[in-house]
Formats: sequence, C-alpha cells, structure tokens
Amino acid sequence: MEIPYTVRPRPDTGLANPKLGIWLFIASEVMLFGGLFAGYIFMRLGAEPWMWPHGWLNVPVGTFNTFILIASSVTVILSWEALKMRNFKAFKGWLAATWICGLAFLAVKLGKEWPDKFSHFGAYIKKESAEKYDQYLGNEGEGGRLERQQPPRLFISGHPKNWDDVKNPAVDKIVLTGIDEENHTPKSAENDRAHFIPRAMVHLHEGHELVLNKKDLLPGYGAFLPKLNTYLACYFMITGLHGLHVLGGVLVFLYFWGPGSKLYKTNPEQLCNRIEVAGLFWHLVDLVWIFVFPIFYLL
Amino acid sequence: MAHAAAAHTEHGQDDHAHDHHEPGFWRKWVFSTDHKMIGIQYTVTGLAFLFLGFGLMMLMRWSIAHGAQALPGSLGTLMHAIFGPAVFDEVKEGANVVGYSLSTQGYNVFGAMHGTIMVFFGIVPIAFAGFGNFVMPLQIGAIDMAFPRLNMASFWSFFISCVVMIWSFFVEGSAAKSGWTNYPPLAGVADQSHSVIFNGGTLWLIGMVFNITSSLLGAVNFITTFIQLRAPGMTWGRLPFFCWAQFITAYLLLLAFPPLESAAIMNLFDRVFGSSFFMPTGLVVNAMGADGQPLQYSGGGSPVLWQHLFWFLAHPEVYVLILPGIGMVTEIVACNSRKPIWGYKAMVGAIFTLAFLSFIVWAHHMYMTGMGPKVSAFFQTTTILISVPSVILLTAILLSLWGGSLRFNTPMLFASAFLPMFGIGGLTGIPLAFNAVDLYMHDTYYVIAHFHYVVAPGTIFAIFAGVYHWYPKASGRMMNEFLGKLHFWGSLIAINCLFMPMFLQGMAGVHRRWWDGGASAYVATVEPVLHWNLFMSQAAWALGAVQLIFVVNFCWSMVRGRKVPNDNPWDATTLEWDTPSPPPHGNFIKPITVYRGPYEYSVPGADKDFSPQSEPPAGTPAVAAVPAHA
Amino acid sequence: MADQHSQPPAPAADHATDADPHPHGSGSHGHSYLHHVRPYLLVGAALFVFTLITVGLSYVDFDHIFGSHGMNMKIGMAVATFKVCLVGAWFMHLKSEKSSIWLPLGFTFFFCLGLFVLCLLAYTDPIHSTSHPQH
Repeated sequence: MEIPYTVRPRPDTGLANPKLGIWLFIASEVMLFGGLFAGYIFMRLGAEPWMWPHGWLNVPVGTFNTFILIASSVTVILSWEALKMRNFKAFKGWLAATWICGLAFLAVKLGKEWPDKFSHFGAYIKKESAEKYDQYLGNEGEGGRLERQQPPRLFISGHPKNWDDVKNPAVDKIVLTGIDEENHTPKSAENDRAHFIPRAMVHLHEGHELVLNKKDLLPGYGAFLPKLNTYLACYFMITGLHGLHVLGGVLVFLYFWGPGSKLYKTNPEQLCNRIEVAGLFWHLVDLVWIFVFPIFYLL
Repeated sequence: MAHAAAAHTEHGQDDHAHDHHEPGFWRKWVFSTDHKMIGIQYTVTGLAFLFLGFGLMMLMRWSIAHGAQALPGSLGTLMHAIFGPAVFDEVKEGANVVGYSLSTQGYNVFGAMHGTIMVFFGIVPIAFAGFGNFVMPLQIGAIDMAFPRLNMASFWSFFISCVVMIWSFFVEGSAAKSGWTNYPPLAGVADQSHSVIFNGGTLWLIGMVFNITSSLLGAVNFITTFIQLRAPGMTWGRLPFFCWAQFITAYLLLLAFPPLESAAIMNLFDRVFGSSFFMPTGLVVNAMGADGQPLQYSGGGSPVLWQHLFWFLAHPEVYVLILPGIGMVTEIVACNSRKPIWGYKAMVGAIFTLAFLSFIVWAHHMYMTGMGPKVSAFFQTTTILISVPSVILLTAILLSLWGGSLRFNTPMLFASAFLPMFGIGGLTGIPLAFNAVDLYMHDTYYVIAHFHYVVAPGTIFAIFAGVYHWYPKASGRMMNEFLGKLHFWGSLIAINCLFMPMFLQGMAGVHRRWWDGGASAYVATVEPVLHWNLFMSQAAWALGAVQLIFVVNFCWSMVRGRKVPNDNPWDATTLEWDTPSPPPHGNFIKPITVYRGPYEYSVPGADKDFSPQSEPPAGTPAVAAVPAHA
Repeated sequence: MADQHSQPPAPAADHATDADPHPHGSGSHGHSYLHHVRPYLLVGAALFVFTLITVGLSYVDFDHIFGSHGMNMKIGMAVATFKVCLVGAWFMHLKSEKSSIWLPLGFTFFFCLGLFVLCLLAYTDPIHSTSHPQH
C-alpha cells in the first residue's frame, strides 16, 4: 500500500506530505521555544538587578559556535542543491560538512562551555551579611558601586580550595583560593561593563584566602548550575534543549549520509525531498540559536 | 484537481495489485500502522482510563459523603492492598483495624489523578486520537493516515505516558497530589523528600512530556492527512463536519500543547536540578523542613508563569475536548434526523473563530492571581466573544432537528441528550467569564459543575454516541439496542443527579478541595447544602453501576452481537459507510470519488432518503465520472 | 510519474525555486550550480556579518545614548529578527512558498507573540492597592 503524495506534490494543494508535515512540526517547535522564551522573559523581568548577571559567558566561543551553525545551514542547502542537480558526490561532501559542523557545535558546547561552568564556583551573599564581604563586593564607600549608581554586587565567584567542602553540609565554611576580577578589584569602574574575552581568575596567595561562611550565602551556591540563579536555569534549559535538537539533526544527517543515501539509486527525488525536509528542521535549529546567542551571551 | 483524481486512482489500483499478504499477529494487533487499528487501540486504552478515572472519583465521593468512615465491605482492604498506606488510612476501633478510608493526602492524589486521567488519558485519546484516527481518514476517502509509522510512534508514546502515570501510583508517597493543574510552588516542593526522579510529582511531569509528544505527532499527522489525502472530488465544502472539527482540534493541539511542554520542562528543572523557575524568593512551606524557614532555593522565580503557560494550553484544551464531540454529534444528528445539517458553512466558520479566540482567553482562569483591570478587561471581553461561536454551533445542530424524521436509536439518544447538557454547561460558564463573579465562584463546586456539564454529559455522551454509531463499522456487529437504551436513561438520570446539586453547593460556597465535603470546615455558611453530598455520591455510584451495562454490551456484542445487515446499517451518506465492515487494510475496495456534499438526506426527487457522497448524480454514467488524465 | 524511477541523473526541473530559464545539461554543471547557490552564499555571508554586528552593538551603551531603558535589548532583538527573516526567506524558501505554508505559520507567530505580550501585560498590570513586599 502506498500513501499518495509522499514524493510529488498534490496538484491542488501544491504540497507533498513530508513538507507540510515538517512545517507543522516547525510551527509547534516555534511554540515550544516560544514557551521557553516566555520563561526567560519572566525570569529576567522578575530578577533583582543584582541577581541577573551580564557577561558570564565566553563571547568569542559563542560567536565561533554561531558561525559554525550558520555555516552548516549553508552547507545543508548546498548539499540539497547538489542533489537536485543529481551530483551525488557533492551532495555527500556538503552533507558531511553539515554533520561535522553539528558535531563541532556540540563538542564546543559539551567540551568547553558547559564544563567551564561546572568547575566555576559562585555564591550570592545575603544582603544582611554583605558588609562583611564588602572589600570583595565594593558597594560602599568612595568609588563604590552605590556611588556609581550601579546595583549592588552581592556575588562572589572564583575557585574553591576544596569542592567537597562546598557540597558537604557538615562543613560550614568555604575557602576560595582564586576569585574573579570583579571581586579582586571590586571598586574599579572597568568591571561595570561586559568584557569580550573573560578575564582570568586572580589567584590568592596562601594566607590571603577568602573564607565564606555558608550561613551568609543564599541557597543554590556552588558550581554554576541551574540552582544558582534563574539566569543559569534558563541558560541550561534553553541551550540544553537546543543542543538536543542539534543532536537530533546530526543523527538524521548521519543516516542520510550513510545508509539513507542508498535511496539515490532507486528514488533520488524522494531523497532530495528528505534532505529538504531535514534541512528545514536544521534551519529552525539555526533560527532558534540566532535568538539564543544574543539573549544569553550579549545582552 | 483532475490530475489529483487521476493520481489518486492510479495509486488505489496499484495497492490492490500487490497488497494481499496479511501482516502477522504483532504487526496486525500490536505494532500496527493501520489507522483503524491504532484508532481502536487509542479508544480501548482511553475507555480503560476513563473508567479508572471515574473509579478514583467514586472513592473520593465516599470520603466526601462519609468522611473518615471505613469503606464498605472488603473494598477498603482491597484498595489499601493496591494503593498502599500513603493513600488509605487505617480506621481503628480501639486497637483493632476495622477498615480503611481514603486519607486526606489520598484525596489529593485521587483528585489530581482524576483530572489528569480524564482529560489527558481519557477524553483526548478517545475523542480526538481514537475517533479521529478511525473515522476521519475513512470519511475523507483516504487509504490511511499520511504518516502511518508516525501514527504508530504517536500511539506508543502515548502508551509510555500511560505506563508512567500508572506506575506513579506505586512509588513511595504515591502519585502526584498537586491538582491536575499542577500549580507551583506546591508542585515544585511536593514529594521532594522521596527519590529525585521516582516520585509522584516528577513522574507526572515525565508522563505528561510523553503524552504531549504523542499529541504533537498525532496533530501533525491529522492535519497533513486532512489536507493531502482527501479523495478526488472531496472539496473543502464537501467535507463532513466531523473532519473539520478534527482538523481544528489538531491545530489547537499543535500550537497550544508546546508551551505546556516547556512549562513541564521548567518544572522538571525545578524538581530535579533545584532551579527556581517557579520558586519565589523566601518561600516558606511548613511541611518542608523547619517551620518558618525559607526553602533552600535561590528564588527569583514566578509561580504565575506556570499558570500562564499551563492555561495557554488548557484553555484551547477545553475546545480540544468538546470539538470532536460536537463533530460526532453533528454526524449522528444529521444521519438520524434524515436531514441536512442546518448552517454547515456557519458551523465551519464558527469553529475557525473558536480556535482563533481560544488562544487569547486563557487568563480568565487566573483572575485570582491579582490581575489588574486592563488585562482583566481584555480577557473578559475575549471570553464573552468566544461564547458566540459556541452558541452558533449549538443552535445549528438544534435547528437541524427541526422537521426531521427523527430515529431515536441509542446513538441518537446520546447525541440529542448532548445538546441540552452541553447547553447547561456552556451557559453556566458565562457568569464565570466575569471577574467579579469569578472571584467569588473560583474553586467552588459551581465551577466543577460547569465544566463537568461540558465534558461529562457533554463530551462523554458524544463519545458514547460515537461508540454506538461507529461500532458496527469497526466490528461488523451491532451493539444491543435494549442494553444501549438502558445505559442511556440510567446515565442521563444519574449524571444530572450528580452534577445539578453542585451548582447549589457552589453558589453557597462549598469549596472543591474539602476532602470530607465540608463537614469540618465553615459549617456555618455551607451547612444548608451539605446534605446534598450523600445524594450526589449515591448518584455517582449509580452512574458507575450503569456503565457496567455499557461494558457488558461492548464486550458481548463483539462476539454475539447481531451481524450488520449491510455495509451501511444507518443509511448514512458519508464515505466511511462505503467500505466493508470492518474495513480492510487500505480501506476502500473500489476507487472512491466524491460527487456531492456530506449531508444529502431526503433530497427531493431521489429514490431513497439518502444520497451517499460517492453516488454519481442521476444520469451520469459511473464510468465517465473518473476523470481522464489531465 | 513512472519516469522518476528510470533516470536518476536527470536534473529535477519541477522545483518551485527553479525559476531560471537556463537548461542544466550535464556539461554545464559547474556554472549552473554556482548560479543556483549564489543567493545562499550571499545570505550566509550576510548572516556572518550581522553576527559580528550583533556582537559589536552589544558593547555600545544604547541605554545611555537614547536615554531610555532596554534599548540594547530592543536593538539586539531587531538585528536577530532581521537575521531570522533572512534564514526564513531564503534558506527555508518562505519568500517563494505557498500561502498554505506561511499562513498557518503566520498564525503561529501571532499566537506566540500573543503569549509574550499578554503575559507581559499581565505582569505589568498588577492590582496596586494590595501590598507587595519590596526587597
């Protein structure tokens, strides 16, 4: 039994089934990411100004990943055009470039960006305890953030001496051996703006270590994980779900590049449609990233 | 169009040339890609969940009527053995255990799961996925759905969600207990003392993610099928109304469900990774940790965000529940009044308007969230507007009865009872559209009565009508008419005894979440209406007993029912009656072409009182009707 | 319909974007291929450039320049929307697509915007007479 219009378009609607199907799927994906972005909007509007961070992500790496994704969007089109011209070799080549780009994107995400967050310590100081740490926060006094009409800084980040102390509820203090530039020179106006390249951590010498009392910290302190604040929760949720879409796309392309390409011998038209449909999905992935990149990395 | 016709016919003939091998047992009955089998699988699974959801409610009605008294006989022992001590308390006399009663926590569990199961696992799978899968492709003259394997994937995704939901009853602390709306922050913190993944709240979310995925795949498939696989001659104006209703329903599911999926993912993050999407700063919950201490969340989240995303789905979901029902009733009313539907075009226009408006009314469920006057005015206006297309639908069906030659067989009885019942449900909803009334009525039994009139004697009656109507097509046998009528009259009386007093109770202020029906709370204000509790509970149990008649009829007719006299036992016009009963793989044994509208009953001058859509106009030789290759 | 099986090397001449009148014989592969893909390469290049522009603009303090809050976000979103339109129109072929595709898609964007706007409206329109604890 053969379902009609799986390859050729139906004359009166002008559409083949797979193309209509993928567009409907894309519509539902738009609503899915729309819901997630609605979450982002709520979280950002609802956040206290000192709690919503700027410049936490590595912009050059993010830009690089954006380029990779755009490039893969071009290669998938080239691959489809090659197939339309019945140039099988070029089709294979461009498709390989596409899934390699997809894998590279995931590799950067999972090999560099996320692990950077997992190994970085951050904590919000409770307002009532802020005075104790003000030499690292730089809110009060001459040249302080309040004087510069900046929202107070209540965040300390850096590298803990011992990660077990962070997790162990029996230990009530966390020792930091290195802190970020903002906490090292907290009153510098230089810290008020985001930096293109993240600045290196400042190592503290033995004896100058910063000791945080867990009682002074808001819940959620520790590695840069979703529980630290709503920005990271949104970041991991949206980039995670986007990453799953990338992975799905890569698997589909791998299939069409490998066993799926055999269809060329029997029905190249259908293979061509399949690449087009997979390509449409891939452009959606690119399209979502175009919004994700500025709202998390830049703005 | 002519080209389409030719291509379609060509395929049709192709199929029968090489499609005579029968699939094996597993491919035929379990991992089937045939839309009819998948429709039946959905319907049967959905009916099972409908009865499960109703069973939970019957137990809840016991505690509403009798409080903490032990359940009668060995029922309590059985329930305690199944659901465990998290849900059923021991009832003691001195030191002896004399029985078991639903615990207060158990009442929450059953309440949450009753709603979830009825909406997401009962009605949508039957009315949309079940009937839509079985009937819609037949009615448009398609050989199958556009993506048969996707269809199977959709069912099995649904099946996984069913397994997860059932499983959640048996983990520590039992199933989800924060209401079917799963409002945070309660939904974020409930069950947190148990395992991170294997607890009721988290399993509920995982189950919902699978359920939503299933709905999305199904919706894509339905819309594509509807647009692409219409038989030659099946123009937009010749589509049966049921198909239009399914099409719109699929669109609602496609666009409304994803925001709930994103909300479910956020809630999963809150529960599993400890994030604060829905956790406001400084939240204190006495049952969690030390009293008066804020919970261990970094905070900054918004519980109202969940409500927005949830109701963005759940209001269109209301139309997902009712539109397939209206579609089925329309088909059955037209067939059994032997008359065309009055205002077909107005009805199609009305459901388009309904679908559009249903996306911008959702916050009328949220008047209690402290919504300001501007937003409130907007949502009150759209809510009132949306009642207009609903009234058009009901009026059109009602007027279709006028002057018809009515046949009161079982499907027609259910379909005609649908009309006043849905009318009561709809009209009692209008006061709730207004902020000022809703603030008082919110979460009272008035609201319960309102939406149960829409979905229980509304949609579920339509589902019963549909089952009785299309059973002969699916099985080749008729259901028993006497048992069917008994089922109908019993259901109609019991269901009204059950829901009508709820309006009284609700207006007096009885709250929906009182586990003992209000006997221990605010007795002074609600006392005069509390005596209805026992009566309503008895009506609920009677309603349950009456459904046994249906189960018996359904099973018995499958083996012993009267064989269908011909392929078209109801003398109907639509295409599904042009196939054998049950239809074979590939559906139609002859190439099908459509020549006329869906409801050509009692056409003046015709030799019988129905003219099937596939019947060529008088004087046209059948051969010439197949267009030549253009 | 049957001939599609018998001759895989023939170029497909029925595609919607296939508007140019030049015949693509097997000998002119190179030229017509480039001709075909040039718009895609241009759009790809434009996306690269606009990505750099987005990054650059984010380091300019527009809030200060325009004296209004959230200007950086508005400008950044405008650039992103423009990029998305490029992807949609050329890569996803929406500029030459049928109304049966983009009409439902238009509704999707409308409902999505409705979700944003109405949520925001509800957020910015609370009842003022009740007390909201300020931090």
